[in-house]
Amino acid sequence: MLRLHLILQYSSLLLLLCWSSFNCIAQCAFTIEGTLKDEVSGAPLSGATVYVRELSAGVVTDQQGKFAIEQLCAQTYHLNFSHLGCAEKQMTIELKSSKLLSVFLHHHAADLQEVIVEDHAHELDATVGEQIAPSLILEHKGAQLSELLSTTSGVQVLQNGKGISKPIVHGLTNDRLVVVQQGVPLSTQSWGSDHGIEVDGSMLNQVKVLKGASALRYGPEALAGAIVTAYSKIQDAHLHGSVTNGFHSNGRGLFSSFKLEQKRNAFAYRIFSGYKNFGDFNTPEYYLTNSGYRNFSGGLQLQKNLNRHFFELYTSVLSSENGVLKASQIGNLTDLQLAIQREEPYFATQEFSRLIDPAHQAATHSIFKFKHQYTLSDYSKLTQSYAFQINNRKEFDNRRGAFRYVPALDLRKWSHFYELVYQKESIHDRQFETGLQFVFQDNTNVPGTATLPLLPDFRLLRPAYFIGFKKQKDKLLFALGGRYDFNLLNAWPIRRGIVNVVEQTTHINHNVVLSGSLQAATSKATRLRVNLDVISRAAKMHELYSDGLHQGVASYEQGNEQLDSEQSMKLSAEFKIFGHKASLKVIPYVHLINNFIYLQAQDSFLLTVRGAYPLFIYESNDAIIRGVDLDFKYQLSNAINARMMFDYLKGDNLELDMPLVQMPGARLRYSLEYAPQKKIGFLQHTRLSLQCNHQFKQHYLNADQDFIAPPEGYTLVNAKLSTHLINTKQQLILNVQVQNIFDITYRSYLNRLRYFADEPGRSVNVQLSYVF
Amino acid sequence: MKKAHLTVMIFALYISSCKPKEVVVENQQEFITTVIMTFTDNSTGVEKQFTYKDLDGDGGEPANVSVEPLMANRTYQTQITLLNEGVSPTENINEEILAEDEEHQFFFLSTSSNLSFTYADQDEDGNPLGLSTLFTTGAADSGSLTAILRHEPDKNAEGVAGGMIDNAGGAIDVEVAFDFTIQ
Repeated sequence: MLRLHLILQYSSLLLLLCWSSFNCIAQCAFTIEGTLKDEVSGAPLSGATVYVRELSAGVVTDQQGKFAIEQLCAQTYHLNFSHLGCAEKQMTIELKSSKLLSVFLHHHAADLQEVIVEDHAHELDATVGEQIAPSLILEHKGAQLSELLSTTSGVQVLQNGKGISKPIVHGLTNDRLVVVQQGVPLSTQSWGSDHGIEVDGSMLNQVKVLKGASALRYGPEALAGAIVTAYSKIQDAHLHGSVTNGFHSNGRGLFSSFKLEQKRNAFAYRIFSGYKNFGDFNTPEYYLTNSGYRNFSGGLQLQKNLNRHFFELYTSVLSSENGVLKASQIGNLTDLQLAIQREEPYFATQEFSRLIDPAHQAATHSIFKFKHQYTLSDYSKLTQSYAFQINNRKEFDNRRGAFRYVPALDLRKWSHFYELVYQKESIHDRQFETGLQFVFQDNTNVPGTATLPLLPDFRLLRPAYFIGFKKQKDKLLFALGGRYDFNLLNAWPIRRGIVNVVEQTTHINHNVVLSGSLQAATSKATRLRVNLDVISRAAKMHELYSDGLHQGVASYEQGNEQLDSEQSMKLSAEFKIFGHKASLKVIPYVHLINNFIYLQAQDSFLLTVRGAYPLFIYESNDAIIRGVDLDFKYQLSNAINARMMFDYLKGDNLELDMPLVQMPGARLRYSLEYAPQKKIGFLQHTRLSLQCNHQFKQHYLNADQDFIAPPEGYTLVNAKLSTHLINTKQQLILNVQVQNIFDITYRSYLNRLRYFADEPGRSVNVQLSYVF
Repeated sequence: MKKAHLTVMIFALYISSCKPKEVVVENQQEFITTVIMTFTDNSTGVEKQFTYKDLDGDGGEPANVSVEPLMANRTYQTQITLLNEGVSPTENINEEILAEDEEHQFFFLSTSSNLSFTYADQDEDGNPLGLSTLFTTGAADSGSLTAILRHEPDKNAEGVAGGMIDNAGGAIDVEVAFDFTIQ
């Protein structure tokens, strides 16, 4: 049963690659025989799966690691080798005669960046996290990346309208969460609640959410975790690709994307592009004026193997334009209070529009990356990567006259990233890695805004050294790691007065990361893991130097140059029980943060020519966040699966003895999925599911901590259908989703626009993907 | 080879981080530093001024507010002048407002019923603008007058043409309060 399940899992993984079968011409009497061995120890791998895509069937290796597939024709076959604890291997064979193969599988643990498949529940692994299923990634092609991420437990979404969003992992986001794209920590303007993550989710084929223990590789900013996105290695000799087109009724969103890839001999390429265009979203009662967004993304990936060398060139660009809800473009405190009191927001209409007017944001992010891997021996390799990123962000406010088309904020950030990593593994499941990293960032306010910048120009230089060790012994796996970052920040703040003066300041921080993990196979069906991460994070630029009014936030933000590094200690555990029909995963955690940096509302107001504004200053206090994620799966029958997920957390400011703001409320989600293994008519791989998501009200907040009390809880019911209309060597996959079926009116505590307007109502989403 | 690579890199980074940045301090061109309300007595022609001045803009030094007392039971022709004195030469913002008069409107909120106003000008569409107004004083009193300039209000919303701000919406350009006395 489990094996069948695995095979299904693998086959679904491969859907994105291809199905290629030619007709049987002559006799079909060839055989592929072979042996599977561990690449490191040379030991035969018994119980490994060899899956032949063209036959939609597989065999299992015997005690000697041997397998045989008979009655094969003279054609091309795609084989997939997999074994628990090993990286999967694909092979394309043009069969002209019978073949004898020796296949070596790379032990999974050997590559820390290797994919972790969630269903390998038995596997021991040192990271707490979740790999998002490819089918889920496919379903979310028209959505924001944050929405895809929030399907995992412990992750919610912080929004500034529909188009601007970012994930919150275990209560933390922004500067405490790293987004990694193709091995490069993304360097964008990630500080405000109104800055989304600049990654187009529609192109990715691997997305992983790491909750802690990831800081070693991604730096102290991965205090809460990391979102790791990547494009898989190009494996297949045939030209493969996919084209997806879709429509969302709410926002009348249109989106389209394509991908092409091929591996020819030692050279491989992949090219991809995507486009999205959403107009104004509508709540059950009115349209949200100026809430649309558009974005365009494209990229190219080239890979080349040359003996012991592996080279990769990767480049991508994302250009996006986001409207900011017109009703939220208010001024001072009086305005905010007037806007809050309204039943229906200002400028609410019954007319749909695709127009994006000020206030809006236009951002472009480009990445250029070069990677070189050199295999020193069978057990060790050296990898160096260099990445250059340019981020340009323009924010347009509702200004007068000619300034209407002049950005009020225009930032250009250049980032260089260099990494040199040495990895070694040895027999007996020992692994070692060590590396150096250099980060250099230069952030400039592009002249011409005719206003003083919110954030001064700065340069950041951050060399780092890290070392990690992992060992598996019988039923125990432990990992230890350390990292040191030297953080040199030079800033050029403008001291405001009758005459403005530019000053140069320097901040030096030494930041240390220590991380330890112990995982035990406590019994055949249970796993226990305990992680402890100690991280110190230097205060970021905006925490030190913000000075001004943030776009439509109706508050004046001021940095605090005295801020010291944040010291965080996170203790988390993961407990898994899995049986034939049910599995349960529980992740409790306690996160203690000394010097937790946050925006504190001041008693005084800042008086300006535009009236009084609430004044917020960055302060630091000791804080604690504790919570638990629950994930329970149950197989009711062969075709019906049920799932329940629950997240709960509570954050406290220990010094001021009050709750932390912007903490997600509890969330309970159920889903029921019907996935028959047989065809229904001509439909294959059909999955029909019904979801019920309940968001509880965030009660844990004092009345004086927000302008209004957090919104009430709500329940959303969604349904989705996914099926293969054609399933030969080409596939045509249809996805239909109905979100918020009952078109309920609600507001979300994690959406900054909750003061002004309701959340979008029902949406019917249809998407057709052609994969070859 | 790799060592040389690294050394060059570190060196380049070191150099680039040492060269100070040339920061351009922007002229805050659209900024309003000064709001002057000039009350001209209809009967005597005597001028009184309410002035709000914040030359360094948001933050920094607090604004300077000065108010001259008004006389009881009079009608005042009132003119508002908005200036940006942060740039040289001083910029008259009134011209910008007049150029986009249908996108702007002033509102005046008084805590005292002894100070009331009516609009004395119109935009291109025939809706009130509020750079020119007529203020009427009643008996001797004191209170606070808030002058508000909205950008892109909904001028057709209920009550807005009569000076009611509640349904106006739009972004705020000016909101200053003057503590006045009527003698």
